[in-house]
Amino acid sequence: MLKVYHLEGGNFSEAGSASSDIKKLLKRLGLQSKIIKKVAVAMYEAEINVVAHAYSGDINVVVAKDHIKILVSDKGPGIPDVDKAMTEGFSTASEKVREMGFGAGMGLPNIKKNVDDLNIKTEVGKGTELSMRIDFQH
Amino acid sequence: MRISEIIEKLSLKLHTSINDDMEIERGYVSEMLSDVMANCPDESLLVTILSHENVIAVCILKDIKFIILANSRKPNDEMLKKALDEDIVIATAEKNAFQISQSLLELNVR
Ligand SMILES: Nc1ncnc2c1ncn2[C@@H]1O[C@H](COP(=O)(O)OP(=O)(O)OP(=O)(O)O)[C@@H](O)[C@H]1O
Ligand SMILES: [Mg+2]
Repeated sequence: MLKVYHLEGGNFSEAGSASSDIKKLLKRLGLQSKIIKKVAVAMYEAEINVVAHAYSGDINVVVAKDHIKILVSDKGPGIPDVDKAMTEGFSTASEKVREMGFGAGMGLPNIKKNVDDLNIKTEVGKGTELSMRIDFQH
Repeated sequence: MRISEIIEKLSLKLHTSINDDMEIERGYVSEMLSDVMANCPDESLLVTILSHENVIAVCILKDIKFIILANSRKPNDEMLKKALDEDIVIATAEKNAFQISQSLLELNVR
């Protein structure tokens, strides 16, 4: 199964709708709630990062028999230092974004904790591509 | 403790209806949504001053059904609309988050 979503930078009120759509889909498929939670957290954080830090983005979700793959690619500033960005507490979120409750610097670490495989490709000035896989069996 | 009992005991102002008056045993206080995503136990109530629709998106994903807004905060229109759509209860307290947590502890919500 393949699902595609589009994201606009700065559009916070729509952020989270792709992840909740996938959550509902996985629930219908009868997956364990523990797995659904992992997918929801990882996908939401990736979605919010595009909205908070990039200009626009696309999400492709592939649901296979034993895993889910989520690819989030954006046009945006890219991430100059990925190791630093992965550190809990590191954030470049603007004041406006912080007032909305984002910018704890926990999103990428949250993603890492919840997925079985994470790959970040990024180019400064162009954009970022985050691909993650979550296995259904553990 | 049921949502309706918590609302009564803490004298909260209710903004939505309560369609599913469920038992709540746990609570979490936070002003950072990725902290809620990471650390809030499932099916807790959430005490916060964040009063916009992003909170609802997080509550949907974490199965949070009850939000207590501290410091007399009111939900913005979009937050209220989404909460109604998703059957999430929102109520406002005059007290701050610390005081609300104390009262909740006395009600055995931890
Ligand atoms: N898609 C992206 N494009 C550009 N920069 C990004 C992107 N995603 C993350 N970053 C950079 O990495 C930093 C850390 O991201 P992370 O998600 O961990 O924290 P945050 O988004 O700042 O705060 P939080 O996720 O806790 O609300 C961001 O502040 C930003 O500088
Ligand atoms: Mg983030």
